[in-house]
Amino acid sequence: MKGKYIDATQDQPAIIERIKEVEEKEMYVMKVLQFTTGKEKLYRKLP
Amino acid sequence: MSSSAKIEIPVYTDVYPGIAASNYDPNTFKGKVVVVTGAGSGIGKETALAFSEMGAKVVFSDWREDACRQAAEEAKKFGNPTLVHRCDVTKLAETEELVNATVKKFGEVDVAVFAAGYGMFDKFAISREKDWWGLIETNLKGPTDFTRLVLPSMIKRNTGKLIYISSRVSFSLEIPVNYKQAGVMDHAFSTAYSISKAGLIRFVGCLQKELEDTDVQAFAVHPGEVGGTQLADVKYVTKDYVQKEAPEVPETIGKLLDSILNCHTRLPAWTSVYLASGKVSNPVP
Repeated sequence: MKGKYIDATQDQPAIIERIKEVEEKEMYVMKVLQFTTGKEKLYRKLP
Repeated sequence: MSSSAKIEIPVYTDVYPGIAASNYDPNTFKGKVVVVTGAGSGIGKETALAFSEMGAKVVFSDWREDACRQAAEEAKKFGNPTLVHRCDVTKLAETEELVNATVKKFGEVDVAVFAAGYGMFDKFAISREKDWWGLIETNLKGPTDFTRLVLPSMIKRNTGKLIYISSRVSFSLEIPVNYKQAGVMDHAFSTAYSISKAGLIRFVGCLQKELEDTDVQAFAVHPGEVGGTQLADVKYVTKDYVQKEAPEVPETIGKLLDSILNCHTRLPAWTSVYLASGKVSNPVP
Protein backbone atom coordinates (compact mmCIF):
# COMPACT_ATOMS: atom_id res chain seq x y z
CA MET A 1 0.00 0.00 0.00
CA LYS A 2 1.31 3.37 -0.97
CA GLY A 3 0.33 6.61 0.67
CA LYS A 4 -3.34 7.26 1.14
CA TYR A 5 -6.06 8.79 3.27
CA ILE A 6 -5.91 7.48 6.81
CA ASP A 7 -8.68 7.70 9.39
CA ALA A 8 -6.87 7.69 12.72
CA THR A 9 -9.99 6.69 14.61
CA GLN A 10 -9.97 3.31 12.91
CA ASP A 11 -7.61 0.50 13.82
CA GLN A 12 -4.76 1.03 11.38
CA PRO A 13 -2.97 -2.33 11.76
CA ALA A 14 -6.31 -4.09 11.20
CA ILE A 15 -7.09 -1.97 8.17
CA ILE A 16 -3.69 -2.48 6.66
CA GLU A 17 -4.08 -6.23 6.99
CA ARG A 18 -7.45 -5.87 5.27
CA ILE A 19 -5.95 -3.80 2.46
CA LYS A 20 -3.20 -6.35 1.99
CA GLU A 21 -5.81 -9.06 1.58
CA VAL A 22 -7.75 -7.04 -0.97
CA GLU A 23 -4.66 -5.96 -2.88
CA GLU A 24 -3.34 -9.48 -3.00
CA LYS A 25 -6.65 -10.65 -4.38
CA GLU A 26 -6.66 -7.85 -6.96
CA MET A 27 -3.12 -8.73 -7.96
CA TYR A 28 -4.21 -12.30 -8.47
CA VAL A 29 -6.96 -11.12 -10.81
CA MET A 30 -4.55 -8.88 -12.64
CA LYS A 31 -2.07 -11.70 -13.08
CA VAL A 32 -4.78 -13.79 -14.67
CA LEU A 33 -5.48 -10.93 -17.03
CA GLN A 34 -1.82 -10.71 -17.83
CA PHE A 35 -1.65 -14.41 -18.50
CA THR A 36 -4.69 -14.49 -20.74
CA THR A 37 -4.07 -11.27 -22.63
CA GLY A 38 -0.33 -11.02 -22.49
CA LYS A 39 -0.73 -7.28 -21.96
CA GLU A 40 1.84 -6.55 -19.36
CA LYS A 41 1.37 -2.80 -19.62
CA LEU A 42 -2.34 -3.16 -19.05
CA TYR A 43 -1.63 -5.21 -15.98
CA ARG A 44 0.66 -2.58 -14.54
CA LYS A 45 -1.73 0.27 -15.13
CA LEU A 46 -4.86 -1.34 -13.74
CA PRO A 47 -5.82 -0.12 -10.27
CA MET B 1 -11.57 -14.19 1.76
CA SER B 2 -14.06 -12.30 -0.35
CA SER B 3 -13.24 -8.64 -0.84
CA SER B 4 -16.87 -7.88 -0.06
CA ALA B 5 -16.73 -9.61 3.33
CA LYS B 6 -17.47 -7.29 6.23
CA ILE B 7 -14.63 -6.95 8.66
CA GLU B 8 -15.19 -5.25 11.97
CA ILE B 9 -12.66 -2.44 12.26
CA PRO B 10 -12.49 -1.12 15.83
CA VAL B 11 -12.89 2.62 16.29
CA TYR B 12 -10.84 4.51 18.84
CA THR B 13 -10.69 7.93 20.41
CA ASP B 14 -7.31 7.56 22.09
CA VAL B 15 -4.06 5.68 21.52
CA TYR B 16 -4.65 1.91 21.29
CA PRO B 17 -2.37 -1.11 21.62
CA GLY B 18 -1.77 -1.53 17.87
CA ILE B 19 -0.01 1.81 17.52
CA ALA B 20 1.35 2.38 21.04
CA ALA B 21 5.06 2.84 21.86
CA SER B 22 5.50 -0.82 22.79
CA ASN B 23 5.10 -1.83 19.12
CA TYR B 24 8.37 -0.38 17.91
CA ASP B 25 11.93 -1.53 18.06
CA PRO B 26 13.83 1.03 20.15
CA ASN B 27 16.09 1.71 17.17
CA THR B 28 13.28 2.38 14.69
CA PHE B 29 13.54 6.14 15.06
CA LYS B 30 17.02 6.45 16.54
CA GLY B 31 18.81 9.17 14.61
CA LYS B 32 15.84 9.88 12.36
CA VAL B 33 15.16 13.54 11.67
CA VAL B 34 11.53 14.45 12.26
CA VAL B 35 10.05 17.90 11.67
CA VAL B 36 6.66 18.73 13.16
CA THR B 37 4.92 21.97 12.29
CA GLY B 38 2.35 23.34 14.68
CA ALA B 39 4.29 21.74 17.54
CA GLY B 40 3.36 24.44 20.01
CA SER B 41 0.05 22.85 20.95
CA GLY B 42 -2.57 20.24 20.17
CA ILE B 43 -1.90 17.49 17.67
CA GLY B 44 1.47 18.93 16.64
CA LYS B 45 2.79 19.09 20.18
CA GLU B 46 1.63 15.57 21.02
CA THR B 47 3.15 14.26 17.79
CA ALA B 48 6.51 15.93 18.38
CA LEU B 49 6.60 14.51 21.90
CA ALA B 50 5.72 11.03 20.64
CA PHE B 51 8.58 11.01 18.12
CA SER B 52 10.94 12.37 20.74
CA GLU B 53 9.91 9.57 23.09
CA MET B 54 10.74 7.11 20.31
CA GLY B 55 14.30 8.41 20.02
CA ALA B 56 14.06 10.68 16.99
CA LYS B 57 15.79 14.02 16.56
CA VAL B 58 12.75 16.25 16.57
CA VAL B 59 12.37 19.77 15.26
CA PHE B 60 9.59 21.58 17.12
CA SER B 61 8.27 24.29 14.84
CA ASP B 62 5.45 26.74 15.33
CA TRP B 63 4.77 30.40 14.66
CA ARG B 64 4.29 30.79 18.42
CA GLU B 65 7.87 30.40 19.56
CA ASP B 66 7.18 30.44 23.30
CA ALA B 67 4.63 27.65 23.06
CA CYS B 68 6.99 25.72 20.87
CA ARG B 69 9.88 26.14 23.30
CA GLN B 70 7.66 25.02 26.15
CA ALA B 71 6.69 21.88 24.24
CA ALA B 72 10.34 21.09 23.55
CA GLU B 73 11.07 21.53 27.26
CA GLU B 74 8.61 18.73 27.95
CA ALA B 75 10.55 16.51 25.56
CA LYS B 76 13.75 16.87 27.59
CA LYS B 77 12.69 13.97 29.79
CA PHE B 78 13.22 11.64 26.84
CA GLY B 79 16.87 12.67 26.53
CA ASN B 80 16.86 12.96 22.75
CA PRO B 81 18.00 15.92 20.65
CA THR B 82 15.48 18.63 19.86
CA LEU B 83 15.53 21.86 17.94
CA VAL B 84 13.08 24.72 18.32
CA HIS B 85 12.54 26.80 15.22
CA ARG B 86 9.93 29.49 14.80
CA CYS B 87 8.15 29.35 11.44
CA ASP B 88 5.05 30.89 9.97
CA VAL B 89 4.22 28.30 7.32
CA THR B 90 2.40 30.83 5.17
CA LYS B 91 5.72 32.51 4.43
CA LEU B 92 7.91 30.57 2.03
CA ALA B 93 11.09 32.26 3.24
CA GLU B 94 10.43 31.10 6.79
CA THR B 95 9.71 27.56 5.62
CA GLU B 96 13.00 27.61 3.73
CA GLU B 97 14.75 28.75 6.89
CA LEU B 98 13.12 25.91 8.82
CA VAL B 99 14.38 23.32 6.36
CA ASN B 100 17.86 24.86 6.23
CA ALA B 101 18.13 25.01 10.03
CA THR B 102 17.02 21.38 10.29
CA VAL B 103 19.52 20.14 7.73
CA LYS B 104 22.31 22.14 9.31
CA LYS B 105 21.60 20.88 12.83
CA PHE B 106 20.44 17.29 12.26
CA GLY B 107 20.78 16.41 8.55
CA GLU B 108 18.21 15.68 5.88
CA VAL B 109 14.55 15.33 6.87
CA ASP B 110 13.31 11.74 7.21
CA VAL B 111 9.81 12.42 8.47
CA ALA B 112 7.64 15.53 8.31
CA VAL B 113 4.33 15.88 10.07
CA PHE B 114 2.28 18.88 8.96
CA ALA B 115 0.09 19.74 11.90
CA ALA B 116 0.15 23.52 11.60
CA GLY B 117 -3.38 24.56 10.81
CA TYR B 118 -6.66 25.70 12.20
CA GLY B 119 -10.37 25.71 11.60
CA MET B 120 -12.54 28.67 10.82
CA PHE B 121 -16.28 28.68 10.38
CA ASP B 122 -18.00 31.56 8.69
CA LYS B 123 -20.60 32.41 6.12
CA PHE B 124 -19.05 32.87 2.70
CA ALA B 125 -21.27 35.84 1.82
CA ILE B 126 -19.77 37.85 4.67
CA SER B 127 -16.32 36.30 4.71
CA ARG B 128 -13.26 38.44 4.38
CA GLU B 129 -10.62 37.73 1.78
CA LYS B 130 -7.74 37.91 4.27
CA ASP B 131 -9.35 35.45 6.66
CA TRP B 132 -10.45 33.07 3.93
CA TRP B 133 -7.15 32.83 2.08
CA GLY B 134 -5.19 33.04 5.32
CA LEU B 135 -6.64 29.75 6.44
CA ILE B 136 -5.98 28.09 3.09
CA GLU B 137 -2.42 29.38 3.07
CA THR B 138 -1.80 27.94 6.52
CA ASN B 139 -3.52 24.61 5.99
CA LEU B 140 -2.58 23.95 2.37
CA LYS B 141 0.19 26.22 1.11
CA GLY B 142 2.37 25.65 4.17
CA PRO B 143 2.58 21.86 3.88
CA THR B 144 3.00 21.85 0.11
CA ASP B 145 5.74 24.50 0.23
CA PHE B 146 7.65 22.43 2.78
CA THR B 147 7.19 19.28 0.73
CA ARG B 148 8.66 20.89 -2.37
CA LEU B 149 11.78 21.75 -0.37
CA VAL B 150 12.46 18.29 1.09
CA LEU B 151 11.15 15.98 -1.61
CA PRO B 152 14.20 16.03 -3.92
CA SER B 153 16.38 14.75 -1.09
CA MET B 154 13.84 12.11 -0.10
CA ILE B 155 13.58 10.86 -3.68
CA LYS B 156 17.36 10.83 -4.02
CA ARG B 157 17.71 8.81 -0.80
CA ASN B 158 14.63 6.75 -1.69
CA THR B 159 13.18 7.20 1.78
CA GLY B 160 10.85 9.58 3.53
CA LYS B 161 7.47 9.85 5.20
CA LEU B 162 5.21 12.86 4.69
CA ILE B 163 2.21 13.00 6.99
CA TYR B 164 -0.43 15.67 6.46
CA ILE B 165 -3.00 16.28 9.17
CA SER B 166 -6.15 16.56 7.14
CA SER B 167 -9.77 16.07 8.12
CA ARG B 168 -12.78 13.97 7.53
CA VAL B 169 -14.34 17.31 6.62
CA SER B 170 -17.48 15.99 8.19
CA PHE B 171 -19.30 16.58 11.39
CA SER B 172 -21.42 13.49 11.23
CA LEU B 173 -19.97 10.24 12.43
CA GLU B 174 -23.04 8.48 11.16
CA ILE B 175 -21.83 8.86 7.62
CA PRO B 176 -19.43 6.07 6.70
CA VAL B 177 -16.25 7.58 5.37
CA ASN B 178 -13.53 6.02 3.34
CA TYR B 179 -10.72 7.48 1.32
CA LYS B 180 -12.96 7.96 -1.71
CA GLN B 181 -15.46 10.04 0.26
CA ALA B 182 -13.02 11.99 2.35
CA GLY B 183 -12.79 15.61 1.51
CA VAL B 184 -15.83 15.69 -0.71
CA MET B 185 -18.60 16.20 1.83
CA ASP B 186 -20.45 19.49 1.74
CA HIS B 187 -20.92 21.47 4.92
CA ALA B 188 -22.26 24.94 5.44
CA PHE B 189 -19.98 27.55 7.00
CA SER B 190 -16.73 25.79 6.24
CA THR B 191 -15.81 26.63 2.65
CA ALA B 192 -12.19 27.59 3.34
CA TYR B 193 -11.55 24.82 5.84
CA SER B 194 -13.10 22.14 3.63
CA ILE B 195 -11.15 23.31 0.62
CA SER B 196 -7.90 23.28 2.55
CA LYS B 197 -8.37 19.79 3.96
CA ALA B 198 -9.84 18.30 0.79
CA GLY B 199 -6.91 19.90 -1.03
CA LEU B 200 -4.47 18.09 1.21
CA ILE B 201 -6.13 14.76 0.54
CA ARG B 202 -6.07 15.31 -3.21
CA PHE B 203 -2.49 16.56 -2.99
CA VAL B 204 -1.40 13.37 -1.26
CA GLY B 205 -3.20 11.19 -3.79
CA CYS B 206 -1.67 12.97 -6.77
CA LEU B 207 1.76 13.29 -5.18
CA GLN B 208 1.87 9.61 -4.38
CA LYS B 209 1.25 8.85 -8.04
CA GLU B 210 4.44 10.76 -8.80
CA LEU B 211 6.25 8.73 -6.17
CA GLU B 212 5.12 5.33 -7.37
CA ASP B 213 8.63 4.15 -8.15
CA THR B 214 10.09 5.28 -4.85
CA ASP B 215 9.80 4.31 -1.20
CA VAL B 216 8.72 7.82 -0.24
CA GLN B 217 5.25 7.72 1.26
CA ALA B 218 2.67 10.41 1.84
CA PHE B 219 -0.39 10.14 4.06
CA ALA B 220 -3.36 12.43 4.62
CA VAL B 221 -4.61 11.72 8.11
CA HIS B 222 -8.02 12.40 9.54
CA PRO B 223 -6.99 12.85 13.17
CA GLY B 224 -10.36 12.23 14.74
CA GLU B 225 -12.47 15.04 16.10
CA VAL B 226 -9.92 16.42 18.49
CA GLY B 227 -11.18 18.68 21.26
CA GLY B 228 -9.48 21.96 21.80
CA THR B 229 -8.59 22.40 18.16
CA GLN B 230 -7.90 26.01 17.43
CA LEU B 231 -11.04 27.47 15.99
CA ALA B 232 -10.63 30.75 14.24
CA ASP B 233 -8.99 32.50 17.13
CA VAL B 234 -5.32 32.10 16.49
CA LYS B 235 -4.08 34.27 13.67
CA TYR B 236 -6.98 35.60 11.70
CA VAL B 237 -9.49 36.48 14.36
CA THR B 238 -12.97 36.17 12.96
CA LYS B 239 -14.99 34.80 15.84
CA ASP B 240 -16.32 38.14 17.06
CA TYR B 241 -16.94 39.32 13.51
CA VAL B 242 -18.86 36.18 12.58
CA GLN B 243 -20.77 36.28 15.87
CA LYS B 244 -21.94 39.78 15.06
CA GLU B 245 -22.64 39.38 11.34
CA ALA B 246 -23.98 35.82 11.24
CA PRO B 247 -24.87 34.52 14.70
CA GLU B 248 -26.38 31.38 13.20
CA VAL B 249 -22.87 30.20 12.33
CA PRO B 250 -21.44 29.79 15.86
CA GLU B 251 -24.80 28.48 17.02
CA THR B 252 -24.89 25.76 14.36
CA ILE B 253 -21.22 24.89 14.63
CA GLY B 254 -21.37 24.87 18.43
CA LYS B 255 -24.15 22.29 18.42
CA LEU B 256 -22.27 20.14 15.95
CA LEU B 257 -19.02 20.29 17.86
CA ASP B 258 -20.80 19.41 21.08
CA SER B 259 -22.29 16.33 19.49
CA ILE B 260 -19.21 14.82 17.89
CA LEU B 261 -16.72 12.36 19.15
CA ASN B 262 -13.97 13.94 21.17
CA CYS B 263 -10.66 12.32 20.39
CA HIS B 264 -7.43 12.79 22.31
CA THR B 265 -4.45 14.30 20.51
CA ARG B 266 -2.53 11.11 21.34
CA LEU B 267 -4.58 9.30 18.68
CA PRO B 268 -3.26 11.18 15.62
CA ALA B 269 0.15 11.54 17.26
CA TRP B 270 0.74 7.82 17.64
CA THR B 271 -0.98 7.09 14.34
CA SER B 272 1.69 9.30 12.78
CA VAL B 273 4.41 7.34 14.55
CA TYR B 274 2.85 4.14 13.26
CA LEU B 275 2.72 5.45 9.68
CA ALA B 276 6.32 6.63 9.88
CA SER B 277 7.58 3.39 11.41
CA GLY B 278 7.81 1.50 8.14
CA LYS B 279 5.09 -0.93 9.15
CA VAL B 280 2.91 0.51 6.42
CA SER B 281 4.98 -0.76 3.54
CA ASN B 282 3.82 -1.64 0.10
CA PRO B 283 2.99 -5.35 0.23
CA VAL B 284 2.70 -5.62 -3.54
CA PRO B 285 6.07 -5.73 -5.29
